[in-house]
Amino acid sequence: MAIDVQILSEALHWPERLDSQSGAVVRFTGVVRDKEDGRSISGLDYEAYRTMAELQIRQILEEIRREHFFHEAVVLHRIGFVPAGEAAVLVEVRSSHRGEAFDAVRIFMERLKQDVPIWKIGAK
Amino acid sequence: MRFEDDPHPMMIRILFFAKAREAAATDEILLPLESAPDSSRLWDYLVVQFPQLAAMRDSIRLSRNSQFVQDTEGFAAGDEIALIPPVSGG
Repeated sequence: MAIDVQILSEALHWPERLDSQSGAVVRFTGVVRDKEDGRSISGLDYEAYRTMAELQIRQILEEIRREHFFHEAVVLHRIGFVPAGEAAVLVEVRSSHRGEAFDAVRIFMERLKQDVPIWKIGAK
Repeated sequence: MRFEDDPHPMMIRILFFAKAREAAATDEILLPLESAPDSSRLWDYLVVQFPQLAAMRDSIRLSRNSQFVQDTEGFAAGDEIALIPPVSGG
């Protein structure tokens, strides 16, 4: 599958696979920090409109792919309580050359923060 | 995404998320389609039933069956409409 999207309530792990067509694999990890508005926190709670979030992520990736061609993309977003220091989101893009993969990941993260119905709903 | 086993075929389902859910103190309501046939009429209903939502109206986007709603789009029986406050994933 060229695009894999999952919203999960558990710790995230990178998918492992062999792929000899992609010369570039760019991975981004969004990590929950231990501070929110200047105070120490132990983690963040996330909520998602799961069906829409998965659909929107897939649509955004397909749109990006038309301009910045890549072979495969994986997006894993965690919901529920995410402890500080752990990943809230993993994004992996595989393309022939590094330019497309870097661009696709950067553009995807901007769009995620504008148009994907996932929310931080509180710090603990 | 339509809810296929809906026993009320002329209804629409409204979902509330994040700050909209907190303001409305509910995560879901069912409405007759005739009460909310489009975004404008839905908001007329929502600000009366949930006055706390009024101040958030300009920042909340609506989705219809998991796609953001275009201004002039009407709703249909069985639709799933959601209130989408500013998102903050990642």
